[in-house]
Amino acid sequence: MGGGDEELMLAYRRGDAGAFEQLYRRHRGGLFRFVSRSVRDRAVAEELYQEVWMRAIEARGRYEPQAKFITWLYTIAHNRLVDHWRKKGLQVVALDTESEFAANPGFEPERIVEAKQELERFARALAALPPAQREAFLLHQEAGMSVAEIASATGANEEAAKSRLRYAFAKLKEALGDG
Amino acid sequence: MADEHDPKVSAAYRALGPEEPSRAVDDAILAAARRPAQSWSGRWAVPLSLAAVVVLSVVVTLRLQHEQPELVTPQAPPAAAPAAPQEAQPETLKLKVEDQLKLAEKPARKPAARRAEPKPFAEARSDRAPAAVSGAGVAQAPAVPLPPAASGELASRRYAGRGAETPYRDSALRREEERVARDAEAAARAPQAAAALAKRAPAEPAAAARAAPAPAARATAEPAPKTAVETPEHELERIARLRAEGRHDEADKALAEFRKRYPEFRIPEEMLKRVERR
Repeated sequence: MGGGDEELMLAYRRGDAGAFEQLYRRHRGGLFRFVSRSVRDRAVAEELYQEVWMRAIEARGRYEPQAKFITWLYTIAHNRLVDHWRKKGLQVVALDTESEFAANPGFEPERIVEAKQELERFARALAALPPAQREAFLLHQEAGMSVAEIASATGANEEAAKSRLRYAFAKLKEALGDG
Repeated sequence: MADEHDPKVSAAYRALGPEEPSRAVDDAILAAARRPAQSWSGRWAVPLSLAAVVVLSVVVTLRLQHEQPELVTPQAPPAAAPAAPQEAQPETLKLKVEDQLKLAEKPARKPAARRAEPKPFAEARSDRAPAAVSGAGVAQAPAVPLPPAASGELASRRYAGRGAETPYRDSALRREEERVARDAEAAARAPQAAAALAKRAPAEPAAAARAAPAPAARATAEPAPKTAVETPEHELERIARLRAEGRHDEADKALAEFRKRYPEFRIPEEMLKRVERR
């Protein structure tokens, strides 16, 4: 069964478990990277990632294809991340501020397989982005979202989403030596 | 959208490598997805059951409290400060009064459950207060509903009695409740008797005024029917009238009967002069 995400989700709502498996295969990698690159801890990332899917499964009966499935799914993920940050004492309003990794040049993400200098710098720059900017960037990269969709998924207005995405790109470009 | 941004950044990001969830996480999620959706009733059955139990408990408790206020109304401990029982008892009394008033208003539904017994009044008289009002005596004659004037009178007494702080003792209180209820009943049925009450000893002007029926009832000054419930004061008035009319034998007999019925009733000096043979 091919079909769009929304059709698959509706089929799953009607009891077609195979439809969910297709959806899952489509979005598992992108969603996992979105989560793991937001929290930078694989164990935490796996826990949060699983919770996001569980919420989607529990909410299947209420799913209505009013928006794209991917926006719905990543909205769940965004909300779960916000909960996680809140629990860790991070204010949502602080998501636009620079993270602690900006002042910690020794941070090296373990998940970088090839230790190329440029990628190291890039990964460090990505980790150092303010959470809101990083989230916008990851949504753009992993879910292929437009500015409007990012705004919808994160509950921000389009101007803020656009600004976050632009800043994220500028900083990452600078890390690549093109700034 | 992507055109606005440097493709080199996207390429560098992709070069970070494809991170993926572990197989165990995949399996757990897919297993959860294959489980049938829990129905609404299944998900909420336990919380709803608990809520229903709580609501039922509260309703039953309130019902019991409403129907048997004397069982649940906290009483001030006897050893407490002297003021404590004075404050606690009027609360109990108010509840009783309300219940008894309901009885009086619905005579057909609930026949007389108990009959007030004439008891000594010496204690109660000294403790009399507006709060000492109850419909206990009203229950004596359930077949005849109170006229509106009397009902209103009782109701006004009920509200007037709130906040009174006169001390009561249990037995005296109960007797006083019964007596006042009989007053109201008699006043409702016999305007004349109420007028007599108004002329009673000056120590009780308020009580007389309370017992007086509505103006419409006062206007019709008909003789009281013999079936009217007599209070000790009414009885004494009647004896005094007999004495004044020279019907001494009847007066003596009535007085003897009165003393038999109310052995502890202290007849005021002034009344004593009027009812005793000279």
